[in-house]
Amino acid sequence: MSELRRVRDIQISQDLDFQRREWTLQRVGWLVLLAVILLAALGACGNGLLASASRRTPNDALVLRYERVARHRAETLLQIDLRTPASDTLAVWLNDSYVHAVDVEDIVPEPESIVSGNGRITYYFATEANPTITFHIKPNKLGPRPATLGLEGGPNVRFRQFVLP
Amino acid sequence: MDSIIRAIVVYLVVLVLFRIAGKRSLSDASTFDLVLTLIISEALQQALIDDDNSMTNAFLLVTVIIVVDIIFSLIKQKSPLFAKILEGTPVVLIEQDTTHTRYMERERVDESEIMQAARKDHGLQRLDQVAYAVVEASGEISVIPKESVK
Repeated sequence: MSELRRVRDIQISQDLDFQRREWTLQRVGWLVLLAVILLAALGACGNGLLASASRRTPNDALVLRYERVARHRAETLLQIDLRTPASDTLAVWLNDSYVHAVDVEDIVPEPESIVSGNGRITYYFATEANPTITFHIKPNKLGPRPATLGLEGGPNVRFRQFVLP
Repeated sequence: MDSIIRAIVVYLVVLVLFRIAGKRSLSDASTFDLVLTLIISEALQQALIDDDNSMTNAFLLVTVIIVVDIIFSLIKQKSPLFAKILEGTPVVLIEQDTTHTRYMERERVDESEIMQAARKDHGLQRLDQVAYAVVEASGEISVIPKESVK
């Protein structure tokens, strides 16, 4: 316990030198909290300007929009715009280490089949030309998550997501 | 293991945030402080339990928090500096005829709050009946009336 001092008639553990330092630190702390709120509003913790990112292949055959910063067990989207001719089937793959670090909650449109192998999870879709595919995912592991997304038989893009607790 | 780390992190983060907020925040001075406490506990609940609603998890979290609290109180007993860092120190705001207005500003306490404590605890009617007013480390204001100073 703090030692007692005498302030005129009363004994009290007042320590003004310590208290002055505490007041200064407190004011600095207030500024830090304000900065945290501002950065969070801008998306430094996900869900905003600083977090949103995109990757595209040179001819724009595949454009991925995603969040650089995601949160543990909070939904985030991978939106994939494809410039492909109409065909019976179209396949998009993700590296399996990424897929195992997230819970895929929903895929729109729904894939016709999902195949695992060669370090990839491949999703087969029946689509019209130039489709947009959205993965609704919830990361279940923390930290940096490197990932690769590709069109089967076509180009791929690498991206990295950081998952906050 | 996950629950243990989570409980310790939540305990430490809340401790730092409350120390930054200052003594007077959440010192049950107003009804709003109570509302704030409820909102904060609700917001933290999710971070503490995640998606494990088992009784085992609940008891484990409570056990960890209590043990951390015991460890901290033992260290506080041995180290006055640690006690000050963790809990802060009281500040004398009124000292006989001297009113430390600068300290009052810093601690966000005004004369009406001192009078509130003086009325509630001692039935005093005027500020000039107050010999000492102290904002305690907990954020409470204690008042010593002139009549009881020997």
